[in-house]
Amino acid sequence: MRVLVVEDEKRLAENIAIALREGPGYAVDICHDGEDALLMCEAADYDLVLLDLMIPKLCGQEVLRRLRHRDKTTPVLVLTAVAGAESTIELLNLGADDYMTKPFDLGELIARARALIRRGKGVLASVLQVGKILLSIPEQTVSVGGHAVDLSPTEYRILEYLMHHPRTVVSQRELLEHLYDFTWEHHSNVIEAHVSNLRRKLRGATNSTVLETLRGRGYRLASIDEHIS
Amino acid sequence: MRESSLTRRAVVAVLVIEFVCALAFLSTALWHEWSTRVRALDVALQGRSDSLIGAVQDAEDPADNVTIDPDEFSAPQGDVYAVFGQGGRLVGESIAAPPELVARGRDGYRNVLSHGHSYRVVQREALRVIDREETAGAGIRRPITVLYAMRTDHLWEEVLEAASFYVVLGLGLLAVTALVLIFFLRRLLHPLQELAVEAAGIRASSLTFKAPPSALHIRELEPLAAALSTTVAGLKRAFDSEHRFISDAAHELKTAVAVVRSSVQVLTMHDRSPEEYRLGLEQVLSDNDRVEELVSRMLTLARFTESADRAAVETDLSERVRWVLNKLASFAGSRRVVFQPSLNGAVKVRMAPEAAEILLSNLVMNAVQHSARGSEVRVSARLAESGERPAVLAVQDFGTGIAPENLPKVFDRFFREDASRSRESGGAGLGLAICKAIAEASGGTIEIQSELGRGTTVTVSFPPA
Repeated sequence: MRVLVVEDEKRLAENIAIALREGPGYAVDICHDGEDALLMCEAADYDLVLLDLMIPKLCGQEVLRRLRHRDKTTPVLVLTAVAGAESTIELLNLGADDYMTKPFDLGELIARARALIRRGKGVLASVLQVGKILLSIPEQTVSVGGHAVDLSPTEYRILEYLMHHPRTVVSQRELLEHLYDFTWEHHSNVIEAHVSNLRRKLRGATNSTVLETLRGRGYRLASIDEHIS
Repeated sequence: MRESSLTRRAVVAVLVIEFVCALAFLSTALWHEWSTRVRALDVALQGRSDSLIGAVQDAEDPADNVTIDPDEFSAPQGDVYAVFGQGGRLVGESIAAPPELVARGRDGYRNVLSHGHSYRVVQREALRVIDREETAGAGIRRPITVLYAMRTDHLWEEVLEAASFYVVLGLGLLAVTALVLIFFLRRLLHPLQELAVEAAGIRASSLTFKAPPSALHIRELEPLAAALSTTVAGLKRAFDSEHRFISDAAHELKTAVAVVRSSVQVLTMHDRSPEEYRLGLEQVLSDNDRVEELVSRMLTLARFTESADRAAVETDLSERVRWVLNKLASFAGSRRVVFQPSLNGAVKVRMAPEAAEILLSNLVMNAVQHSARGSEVRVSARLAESGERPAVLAVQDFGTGIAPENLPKVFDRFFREDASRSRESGGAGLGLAICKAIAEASGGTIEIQSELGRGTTVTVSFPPA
């Protein structure tokens, strides 16, 4: 998952980025003003935007209004110092999905970020299932037919993304975009290696689930029955 | 103080004046009534005493006596009279005439009280000429004194009757005046009440005041309404500014605290190596320094904003400039910025040395931070040539300059020129706001001139010490 943090207080932005990278293992980009935020939302497809309200050039409310005006449905979690019924109502009406007041707990921020991303993908449960594969988002664990599978962080992130989009062809480019931030060197063979490792580890489940490679198009995760039909 | 009503006061004042006028009118009328009646009575007295004199006849005796012929004169009921002849001999009197009424005194009219009744008495000297056969046509002159008294009780009754008419009329007029006056005053004072109702609606939460049109149309009320409007508008501006400051301050403080908290939480997310913990704690400490800096700057600003009275001590600006430049020399050196002080002699201003230092270090730090590497920062303190020779302090840099649209905002609290809040270079955006507060607390003014890409000059003018 890839998250954009819009926060003009650099130290706070850094800390949020570290927490999101080290915790749920998201790819995180940072920007410090409203104009950059809009540009970056154009350049990449984010799974979540964390938006501070008092930012230079364009205020948070305006960024939100323009994002929604462009039909961007990316979930937006607003970070604000002002807590009041009026501002909350205004924010939610503008299209914010949630808000937190400063100073906030990073643990709570991570939990809310996860919930927003899940709902953004149309998933309600925090445990995803495709065939025999079970993935618990809060615990970041994967099991196949009741047996735990040990995955590396990147493999886990690839599987999580694919399980959020079952039966859908996910291109390498899309995976790259959602798993790495702008600071990463993009090499598609990195993804290929990770996917091949992932497929090997999930072999125990292959009689019910398949991680297909569609040459030149990408990957697809589906249970066998659905695949046949 | 006891509450009093304008309406009541006005009504009472008018009624008192009216009452005094009525009294004066009444007494004049009564006096007039009385004197008219007395004059009429006097005429009657004159007439009756004339008849009495006419009734005085030669007595049928050998002495030269006179007597009153009862056929010639009969006094009306209640009248008292007496006639005295030569030598004070009583010629005749009415039946049972009270002696005090017929006591001889001076000629003329007088009032006498007798047996509980008041009388008007006339005393006249008269000459009765009596024809006798023996004097052969020549009359004998017999001088007599006539006293005639008439009751005046009925006069009093008549006058009081007339007076009661005037009194009733006067009281009626007073009542009517009072009612009419109250009605008109109420109507007249209505705009004042409307103004009061509008003014009563002013709240700290909604500082708005719109003078009612009725009050604006009255010359006496218009200044009050205008003053209220101006005051409320001024208060609203001040409140809004304070509210903005508090909201900005809350945002800054909460953000600063959020940084510290997040730094600690990041550190506790995983088990880390001792080295990572050490670096992390250093980071927490530096984040905390920023909170302290922010709080101390806000307190400094509050301190200088509150103290409006000028300090009693004198400070030499030149000396303080030298001190501050010396203190900031290494900071400037690290940025390859050179100070160019221009100080000639002592420049005394009325302010605390500490305030001068805060002002100077803020201005000089700003100048250094916005200077290009290798450029200079000019600091001058001098007495102006003109007028009362006010002290002028100027700090000039040749750095980035300030965009014209931002220039009016640089003294606003929490305003930052650099769009992405670079905390390393600035602080909370309170520096120039503090400078302005210090300059104004010492009775001075602060001005800024800037050109993008050319540099900035801040000038502080102080009143002569």
